[in-house]
Amino acid sequence: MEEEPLVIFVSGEDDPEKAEERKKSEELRSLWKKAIHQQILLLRMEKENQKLEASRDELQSRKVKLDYEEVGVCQKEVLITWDKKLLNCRAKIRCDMEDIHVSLKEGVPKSRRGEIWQFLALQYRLRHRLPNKQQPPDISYKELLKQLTAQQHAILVDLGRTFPTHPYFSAQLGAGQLSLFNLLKAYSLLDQEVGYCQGISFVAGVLLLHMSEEQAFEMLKFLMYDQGFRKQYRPDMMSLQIQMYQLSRLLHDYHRDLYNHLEENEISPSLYAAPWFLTLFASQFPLGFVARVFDIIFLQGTEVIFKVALSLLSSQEALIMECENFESIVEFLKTTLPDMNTSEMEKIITQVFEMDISKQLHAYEVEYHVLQDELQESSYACEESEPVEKLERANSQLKRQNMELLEKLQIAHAKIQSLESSLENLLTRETKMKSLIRTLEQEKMAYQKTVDQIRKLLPADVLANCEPLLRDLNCNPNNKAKTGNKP
Amino acid sequence: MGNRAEEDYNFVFKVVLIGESGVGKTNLLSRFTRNEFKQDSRTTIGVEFSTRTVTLGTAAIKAQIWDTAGLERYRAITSAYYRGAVGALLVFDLTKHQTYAVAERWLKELYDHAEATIVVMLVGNKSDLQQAREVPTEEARMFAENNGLLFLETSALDSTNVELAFQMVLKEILTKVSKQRQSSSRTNAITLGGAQAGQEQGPGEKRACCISL
Repeated sequence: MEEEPLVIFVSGEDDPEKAEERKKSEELRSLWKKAIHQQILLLRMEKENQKLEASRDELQSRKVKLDYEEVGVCQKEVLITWDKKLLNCRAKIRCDMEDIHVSLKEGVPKSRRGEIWQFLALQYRLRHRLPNKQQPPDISYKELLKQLTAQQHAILVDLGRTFPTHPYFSAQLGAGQLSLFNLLKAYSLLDQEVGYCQGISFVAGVLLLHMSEEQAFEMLKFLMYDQGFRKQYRPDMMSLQIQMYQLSRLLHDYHRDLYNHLEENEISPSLYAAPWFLTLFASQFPLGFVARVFDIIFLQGTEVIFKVALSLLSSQEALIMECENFESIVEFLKTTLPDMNTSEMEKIITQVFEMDISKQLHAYEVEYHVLQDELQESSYACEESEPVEKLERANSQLKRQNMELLEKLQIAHAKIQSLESSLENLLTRETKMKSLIRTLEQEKMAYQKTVDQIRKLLPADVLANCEPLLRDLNCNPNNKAKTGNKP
Repeated sequence: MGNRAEEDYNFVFKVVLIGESGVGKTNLLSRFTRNEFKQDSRTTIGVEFSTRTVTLGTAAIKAQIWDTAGLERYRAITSAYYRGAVGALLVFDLTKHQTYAVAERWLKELYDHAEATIVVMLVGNKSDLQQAREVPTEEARMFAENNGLLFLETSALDSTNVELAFQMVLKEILTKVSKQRQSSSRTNAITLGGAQAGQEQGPGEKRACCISL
C-alpha cells in the first residue's frame, strides 16, 4: 500500500549549491514521506472506525430488530443443545425429529432464532422434497433485485403499514422498510402467480427481524413453496376459503357450544381468522407469541395455524360465551384475544405442541370439495326466479343437513366396520363348528359300527340283557332329533 | 338531545367502506367512530368494523360501519359483507387518479352484492393534500351525479367533512326508511326492498329496530 512520493529530482552530484539543494530536497522528500504515511494511517484509522461503527450499527440494529418480549424463558442447557444442533446444520446431517421436537418445546433463544429457523427448514427439506413442478424458478435474489415489479405500487402502499409501531420498520424508508421492499419485490418477481398479496408483508417482516435479507428471502421461499403457504394467497383465494371451512368444522366437532354460539351470532371464521391465516398471526399478536408460532410452523407447516386458532378459541371459550352479541364477540376476538398475558400464551404454545389434527384437516378438505360440487349441482337445478332469501334459507338448511348427514355417515361407517368384523368372526366360528360337527358325526358312525359288531358277537341272552343299555346309547340328542324328523 | 347511551337506539344501519388499498378507509372510520387518526395504522386484512350511535332529529341511529380490505383478490371474502348494507362510502384518494379511475368497477362490485336501493356516497379523501391533487373536484362531482351518488371531499387527517359525510349518508338512509315505514304496516323489522333477517335481534335490544336489505 505504501508508495514512494512521485517526486523526482534531477540532481547534480558535486555542486555545493546543488548539495544544499539536495539536502533540501531530501528534507522535502522525508517530509513528503511523513505526510503520506500519516495520510495513510489516517485513512486506515478511518476505515477501522467505519468497520467498528458498522459492527456497532449491526449490533444496534440486531438489538432494535429483536426488540420484543419472549414467550417462555429459554434455559441455558437448551441454548447449548441448540448450539450443538446448529453445528450439525452445516454438515446437513439428518437429526432425530423427536429430539428436535423436544428441544423446540423447551424453547428457542431469540438471539439464535433466525439460525434455528434455517436449521429447521433444512431438516424439513431433507425429509420432504418438493416435486419439480412445484419448485420455485431458480433465479437468484440478486438477479431478481435488478428487475422491476408490476406490484411496486401495492408493495409501497403497505411498507408503512407493516409493523408500523416496531422501531425497525417505523422509519419511513429506513433500513427496515427498504429491506422489506426488496424482499417483497424479489418474491413478487419470483412467484408470478401470487405476486404480492396483503399479508405477505407481515410474514416477510417477521423473517427480516431474525436474519439478513437474503436469508429471509430463502426462508420466505421455504414457507411459501415447501410448506405451501403460497396457496392461500393465490388470486382466487380458494385455499383460504377451504381453510375457513376446516376451522369451522374443527370448532363444530371439538367445541360444539362455542361453534353454536358463534353461528347464532352469524360470526364466521372469515370475519376473525382471515388475518390469522394470511399473516400467520403476525398482524395482531405480540411478536414474542408470533415468533413462537413461527418456531412450530418451521417444524410442522400450515396446520399449526389451525392448532393455534383452536387453542386460542378454546382457552377463551368461557369469556367468548359471555359476550352476548355479534359486536361484543367480534370486539373480543379482534382486540381482547390478542392482548392476553405471557403465561396464557405459554399455555397456548404448550397445547399446540400436543395437538394432532392432520387427519381431520384432510377429511374436512375432502368434505369441502364434495359439498362444493353438490352446491353447484343443486344451483343448476334451481329456478332463477326464486327469491334469494328463500334460496339462502334453503341453503343454510341444506348445509346444516349436510353436516348432520356427514356426521351420520361417519357413524354409519364406523358401524359397518364393526359389523363387518363381527361377521368375519361369525363366519370363522361357523366353519369351526362345521368341522366339529363333521368329526362328531364320524365318531358317532364309528361307535355305531362298534355297537353293531358287539351285537353280532354277543350271545342272545346277554344281548337281551344289554338291550336297554344299547337303547340308552341310541337316545343321544342327535338321534332323537333324527327320529323326530322321521315320524 | 345529545349523545345517547350506546344501547339505546331506534335503528341499526349497516354501512360499508369500500375502495382501493391505501385511500384511507380505516382512518375515515376511526375518525368518525373514535375521533382518531393514526399515522401508523396497519394494513386491513379482511374486514373490520366499528360502531357509533348518532342522533338525527328524534331518531337514535346506531351506525355499524364495516371497513374492508382494498386489495382486489380479497373481494372474494369482503364482498360477502356487503350483504345487508344500507349505505356505502366509496372512497378514493384525490391525490392518486388511479384510485378514482376504478370507482366504476367498485360500484359494479357493490351493486352485484348489495341491494340496488343502497345509499352510496363517493368520497374523495386526503383533501388536506391540495398541492398533490390529481382528481379535480368537478370531475368527481359529475361522475357522482351521473351515477346517482352523493359526493363529498374529506380529510381524515384534519377531520374536514368526515362527520358530515357519514351524517349525510345516514340521513339519506333514514329518509328512505321513514318513507318506507309510512307506506308499510308497522312491523318491527323495516326493510328497503327484499326482506331479510337482520343481525341484531337479540332479546336485550328492546327498542332496536333492525334494518337490512
